[in-house]
Amino acid sequence: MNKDRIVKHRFFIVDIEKEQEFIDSYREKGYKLESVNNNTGRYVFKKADGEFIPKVRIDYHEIAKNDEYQNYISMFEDAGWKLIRGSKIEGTHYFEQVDENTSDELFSDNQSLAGLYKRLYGYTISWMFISLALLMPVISTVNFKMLFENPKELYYTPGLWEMKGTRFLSAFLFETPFVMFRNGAPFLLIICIVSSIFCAIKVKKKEKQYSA
Amino acid sequence: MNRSKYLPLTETTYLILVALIEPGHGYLIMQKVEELSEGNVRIAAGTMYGAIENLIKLKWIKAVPSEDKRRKVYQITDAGLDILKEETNRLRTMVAIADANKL
Repeated sequence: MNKDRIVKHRFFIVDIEKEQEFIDSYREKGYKLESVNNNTGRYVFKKADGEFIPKVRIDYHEIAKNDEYQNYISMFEDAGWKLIRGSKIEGTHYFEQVDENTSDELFSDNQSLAGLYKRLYGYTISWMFISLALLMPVISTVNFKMLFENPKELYYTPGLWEMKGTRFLSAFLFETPFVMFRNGAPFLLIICIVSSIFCAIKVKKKEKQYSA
Repeated sequence: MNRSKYLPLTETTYLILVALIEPGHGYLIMQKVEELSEGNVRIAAGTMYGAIENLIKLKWIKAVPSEDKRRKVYQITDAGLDILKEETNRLRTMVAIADANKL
């Protein structure tokens, strides 16, 4: 690993500790986190020679009021944590140490770590409800009977199922994206709901682990 | 007298309340707590912010007007002072027990 810059794509979603460990692992190899975008899961690390490599730590906080948000950011800044990514709209905030005098962690007791996961729990639950609300109007467009009893009818190409070999394969593959598109929105939403439930269980476990 | 269900307080909560007998913003509280505890209790930024949120919810501290546009300044409330006194009495009793048992 002697490259000047390393670009990685990873999604951690709600596993803040794992994400921090991931960033730390590059720090140990002499790389500084140059930029991060949690929407695209893109991390850019830059080789740092000899200079101080700040630790990156993550907090999750949604703050609606402007003055309160300013107060939040100022407090972290005062304590030596510089905001490198995060905004009022996105709850996830990435901070880096200003220098070696900054504390090692953002949370100094288990109670506040439990609080962090409690906030994340609220976030996953709200995602679940948003997905549910979006699903309601489109659920009726899914023909479940057809899906489970005769999925062949989801394809409109005439004579598709009588075709043979490569002709069938190419026609089948050609239409599949359209089938997904016609029936996709509800399924995407169902995937969203299932994964938000999965995340909610995960953060709830973390919250319990720290409040014990 | 009924003992408050919030007792005993954590060391962190106790020291924050003591620090806020005088008004101060978040980072000032962090410094003051470190000073009061002679460096034994260091509250990290995320923990401090969460603790302030909690204490405001409990109405033990409140934001007070200040010149500083970027930082909120907090101070202990009467309810907070009551809890602090109650906890101090509890601690005194504990120390008395310790003394009586030649600890």
